[in-house]
Amino acid sequence: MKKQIFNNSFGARPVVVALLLLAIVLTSCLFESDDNGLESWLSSQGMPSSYKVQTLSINDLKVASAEVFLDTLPKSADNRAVFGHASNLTHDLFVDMAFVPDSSFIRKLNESDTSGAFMYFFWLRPFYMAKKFPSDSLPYKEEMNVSIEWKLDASTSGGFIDSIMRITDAGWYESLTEWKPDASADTVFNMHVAAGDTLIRLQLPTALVDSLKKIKGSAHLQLRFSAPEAKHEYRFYGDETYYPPIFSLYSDSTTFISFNPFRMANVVRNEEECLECLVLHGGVYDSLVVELPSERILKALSEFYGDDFPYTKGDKNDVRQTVVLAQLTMARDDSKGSNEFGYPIQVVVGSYVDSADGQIRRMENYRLNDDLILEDGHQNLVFHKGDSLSLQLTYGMRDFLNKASDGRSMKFIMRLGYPFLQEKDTTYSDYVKTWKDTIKTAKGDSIVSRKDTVSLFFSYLDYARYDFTESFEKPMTLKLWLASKRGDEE
Amino acid sequence: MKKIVLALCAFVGFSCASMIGMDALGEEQVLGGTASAAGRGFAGNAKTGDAEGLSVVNPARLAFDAKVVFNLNFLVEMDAAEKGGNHYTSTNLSLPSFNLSFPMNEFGALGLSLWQHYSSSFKEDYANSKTMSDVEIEYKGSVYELVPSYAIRLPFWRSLSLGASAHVVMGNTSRQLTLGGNTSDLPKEDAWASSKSKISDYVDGTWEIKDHPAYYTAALQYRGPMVSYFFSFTTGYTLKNTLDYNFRFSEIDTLASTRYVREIDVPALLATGINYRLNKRHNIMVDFLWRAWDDDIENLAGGWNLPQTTKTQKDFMISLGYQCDGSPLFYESYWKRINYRVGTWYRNWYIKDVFEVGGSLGGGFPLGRKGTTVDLAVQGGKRFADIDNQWDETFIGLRVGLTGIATWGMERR
Repeated sequence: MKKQIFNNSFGARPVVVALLLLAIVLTSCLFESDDNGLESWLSSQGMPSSYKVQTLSINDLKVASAEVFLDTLPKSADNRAVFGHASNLTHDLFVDMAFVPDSSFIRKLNESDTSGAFMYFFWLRPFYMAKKFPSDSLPYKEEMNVSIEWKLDASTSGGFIDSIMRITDAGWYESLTEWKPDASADTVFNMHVAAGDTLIRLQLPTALVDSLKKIKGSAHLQLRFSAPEAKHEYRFYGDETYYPPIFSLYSDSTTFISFNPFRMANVVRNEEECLECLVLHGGVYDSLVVELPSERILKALSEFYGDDFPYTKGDKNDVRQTVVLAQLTMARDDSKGSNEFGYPIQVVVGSYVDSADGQIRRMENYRLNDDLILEDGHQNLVFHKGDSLSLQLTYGMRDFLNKASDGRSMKFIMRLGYPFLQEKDTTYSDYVKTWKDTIKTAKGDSIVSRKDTVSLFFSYLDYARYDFTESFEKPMTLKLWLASKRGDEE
Repeated sequence: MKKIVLALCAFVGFSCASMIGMDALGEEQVLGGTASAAGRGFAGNAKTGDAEGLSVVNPARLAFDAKVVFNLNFLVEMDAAEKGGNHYTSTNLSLPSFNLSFPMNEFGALGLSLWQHYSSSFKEDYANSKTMSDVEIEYKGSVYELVPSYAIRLPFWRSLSLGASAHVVMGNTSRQLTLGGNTSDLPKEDAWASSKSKISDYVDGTWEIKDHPAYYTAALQYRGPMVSYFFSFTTGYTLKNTLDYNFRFSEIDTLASTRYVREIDVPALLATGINYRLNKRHNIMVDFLWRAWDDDIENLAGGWNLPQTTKTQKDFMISLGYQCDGSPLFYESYWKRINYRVGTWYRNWYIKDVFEVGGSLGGGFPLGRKGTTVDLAVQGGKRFADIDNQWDETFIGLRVGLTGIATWGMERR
């Protein structure tokens, strides 16, 4: 029976194949698509084949409010430590140490009349030796008044060191906000930083050494270095690096003990005279929070579309249109600021937007206007050619228009970012030059060789300051690029 | 349970090829879209037999089945839409239904069907730099029904059976229209800002019946020595489609969506059919389905120039079919054991001024002695759309049904 089935099946096969081929030929003739068939179909459905971009400029806009926030809480200096003064900010350096000196060493220390103590700090050489560091600014030389304060605890208890180690970093930072030293001493230090230098050595006060002579058992020493009159901000390696600071206590030139701090912190002190001024500082946790007046923006949109703004139907979330790009342009006067390196500094922007059930600060994307960049450079920079600053606020404006019915305002923050090295370059990323070329920087034309890396930013923040007070008093322009779902009849 | 069913549906990628009415409900798969029904022009709901299986418009037929039937259907369809000299062709693979029927002799019969009642599926893209066209369009919509059925022959009149089924509705729908920017109206100095931005107009939502867990079908079937016929009534119901409209820049970068609920009043369905047995194995059958839509259907719409509603009409289908039953004897010639089918139909869609004529050829091919069958149906026809925004469609399709037949509780001889 099976044989019969197979015979029948195979006998029919050529006919089936021929029929299939015929069907394919007929089908391919019948079922064809035109090049623009889909576009025609979309059009007949009332759908577009692209969205039309429209622009709306809202001129003479003044901010509804602006306020500067500077975080002066202690921050870790375990990796990078700074010390000195710049841009009306003083950076104090705290060092936390614990050690168990040998009793015979303490006896020698007490018996010696040549005893003393040093603190060695290693320069952050990658910074001072960086190709883009303005080497002509070195050497730094100054007679620097340094205030050194200390807290010294000692105990013969076996668990003393362990009890110090149990203090969390956060707990220690918090304790520094209520710092009450046991003693202090002012000293003058001849600060000198030249290219290629490795470290500096600070002589610690005799009073501190005298206190150390009295310790029995284990010691907990906390030091604060402060130089509010320093001419520069000095940068060192922190304790968690290969080059941690060294504390050295000696009785004579051959007898000493040395150890490293196990924790370090920096504290910023704001010494701006005008605390209400809208001054942004670089290198610190500093932000300028700005609110734009919602009424002006919504009224302009209402006039533009002929619809009511904000949207109040249903759940009131407005999806009738969206913002493709938003750009706020304001006046800029670089004489109202100062910086360390002479490079332009990028102003970075973040907006407050909805996310899940809450609100987050979302850093804004930056879209490049290639033609303008090649002609006049990036427009989100301070300390460069021109008298205006353009900031892109796309995410914030999208969110604002989407949820404006709840009465919110358009709110964003500004901060000073990294020094910018590609002033008129549209690449906007690090890249390797494949040919010898000239690139335009804020300091003039710079020749780069083949295989040179062209970086987008200088890797170190500039302790700069910029006063936006006058810029914010002048009218601004908000320009929106919009996409709308409104049909032709609307 | 719903999640499992939805996951299963998503896995198999239910879809249909027609581009008509995708903003309304999409294409309707009549009668569960089985390959065996399609082969005889969607007629034959009145035809009884040992293993005819479940009919979603005639649950009463199930009572006459003697064997357990599991049935899985596939459809490959190619559609050529045409209007004003423009053509567009699409091809799609879909899985219109699973059906399981379980006869229990004097206790009646149980059945379960997972049926994709309405669907819209479409995904294409097009770009033309001259016209600044840059578009990707994707529709994914399915109204599924999970249909448990029960049927029993009357103890005092064994030729008559009663059947009922509940249609639990679920599913989802989405439309994503991704567009590139058209900066042709902008001054050159402003064009930079949006030249690379793609935006998706996105809407998605879920289906359910308003205020009820299901809608229901009741049916009466008579089986005579030569003539069998059935009547069924399916209740009307309101479909509720909860939709979220949105602009998307990426999957994770969206606006807060706005919610809207559209409600679609689906009218009651009357169905009847007759099967006349000419000779021992020759059957001629005629079926008729009828619904009177009162209200227009609110579309997905949501902006642009999309029409807000789809006008409806009296929706009916008349189908005429023939089937030559294959021999049940396994030692007969293979060609004699095949079920041969042919049929034709005329169908007024639920969309105003859209109607369809079609024809089909089919066969049921037994595989081995154990009762497994492959049903094949080749169908073709044309949908005529005499309205502005819909195109005529010529379609050709192949349906494949895999049917497993077993004699539960009975020893094979």
